[in-house]
Amino acid sequence: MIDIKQVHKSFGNREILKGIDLHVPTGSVTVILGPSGSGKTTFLRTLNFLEKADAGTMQLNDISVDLHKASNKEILNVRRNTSMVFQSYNLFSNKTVIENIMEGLVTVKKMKKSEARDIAQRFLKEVGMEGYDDYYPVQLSGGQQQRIGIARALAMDPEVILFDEPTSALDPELVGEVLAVIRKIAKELEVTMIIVTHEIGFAKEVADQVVFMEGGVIVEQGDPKVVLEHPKEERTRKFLSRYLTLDSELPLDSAAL
Amino acid sequence: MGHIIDSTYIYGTFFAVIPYVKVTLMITFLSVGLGTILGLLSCVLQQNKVPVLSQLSYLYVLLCRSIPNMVLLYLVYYGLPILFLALEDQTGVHVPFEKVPATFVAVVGLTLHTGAYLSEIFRAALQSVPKGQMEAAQAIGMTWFQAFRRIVLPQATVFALPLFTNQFLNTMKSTSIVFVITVIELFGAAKLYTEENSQYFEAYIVVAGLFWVMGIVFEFIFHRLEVYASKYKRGNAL
Repeated sequence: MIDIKQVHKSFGNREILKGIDLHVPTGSVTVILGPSGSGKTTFLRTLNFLEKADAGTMQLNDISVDLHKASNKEILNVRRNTSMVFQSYNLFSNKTVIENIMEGLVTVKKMKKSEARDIAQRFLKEVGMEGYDDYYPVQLSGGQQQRIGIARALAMDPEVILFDEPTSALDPELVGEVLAVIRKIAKELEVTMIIVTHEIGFAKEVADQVVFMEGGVIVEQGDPKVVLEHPKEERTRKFLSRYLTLDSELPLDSAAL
Repeated sequence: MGHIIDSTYIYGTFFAVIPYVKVTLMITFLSVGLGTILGLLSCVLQQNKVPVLSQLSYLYVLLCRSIPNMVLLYLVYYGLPILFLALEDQTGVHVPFEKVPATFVAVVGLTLHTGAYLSEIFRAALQSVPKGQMEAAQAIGMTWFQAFRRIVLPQATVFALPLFTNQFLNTMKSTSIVFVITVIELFGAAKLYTEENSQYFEAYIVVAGLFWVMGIVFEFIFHRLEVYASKYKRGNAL
């Protein structure tokens, strides 16, 4: 369970987050939608302290932290119980695929290499990348890199995975394979997920809860069918109408898997 | 040619100076080694904006980069005893500076010089690594130091190696000026040898030859290192 209260953040005198509250039950999927510049990504990044909030608190199961005043030890503790999947993948370029997944298991979880390798291989399979152990990131397509990014996040066995626009940097034909992987883990594994995305069709399908953000506040939230099909707020309706005309309903069950 | 260039004199110089090659190499290795630590420290302090220390590092780089190497050496050579005297004056601790070998002073001087240049090289190298690498490492719970050592540094090394090689060769060649503070190395030994008779060209062609050999060997070694360290950029043969 994650309970986030009153997150505020400004860059200079521009207020990006104006008091965000969010509750995410264990094992559920929350999708955050909203136009560019609405603060979605910043909000996600304050949760694992890649951005330091100006105010706010978070309860992550039995860990309770102040998002502004947390000590280095508390920050490390939160990061060790969360994972992040980045828009630009951010695989460790100097490590092979298998080393990318093993890295956190060995250095953070202090596992033996052989044990870490077994786990890494299991998650490679999970994202449909078995056999790619010794490739370096530079040898992979964007979609493949992102699937490894997801495997790396999953392998750490986190209480929550934060997805920061996981398909926004991908070529259109590669979006499907990454969404398929996320959909698969959402269904098969009991992982709590917070996903920032622009894929509305995907949100409708996997989300237990949809949150619509604009201008640093949550405009509307709730059941995906309600929010996406019968939005109450004018701003949500406007946003959706702009997107739904573009949303081409990609063949999501990619043959690549 | 035999009567224009005296080949027996070349042999003579060669055997007279060859033992001093190890002095040159020792000063080079120590100065570059210590300079690397100093440079890395200085650039990390600046990068992380550590209060006071980052300003001091900046000042150090600024001061040591902008004066001639030889002037810096003289400052250390004449300044160190004064510093020790002042220390004794304040605390009563006597440092036997008259026993401090000139080679030590040479290493200190060249380390200060090399560290300042390397600090800037490392700064550029660290900036060449995308920010996302550090973020991804920290996001899975690695400490800053773990992330730096295991993820950022190996990538920065690939960027830094050609420039580092340059600085290594520069420092190696700079050892030829430590003669001014009485340290005898390759160049100094040749200079002393010529003083008995004035066969300058023969003496210095030997010095040049030995520097050529050392320089080319080190360039080769560093090139191999670079190929090895940048393997991830080309990928594995599959």
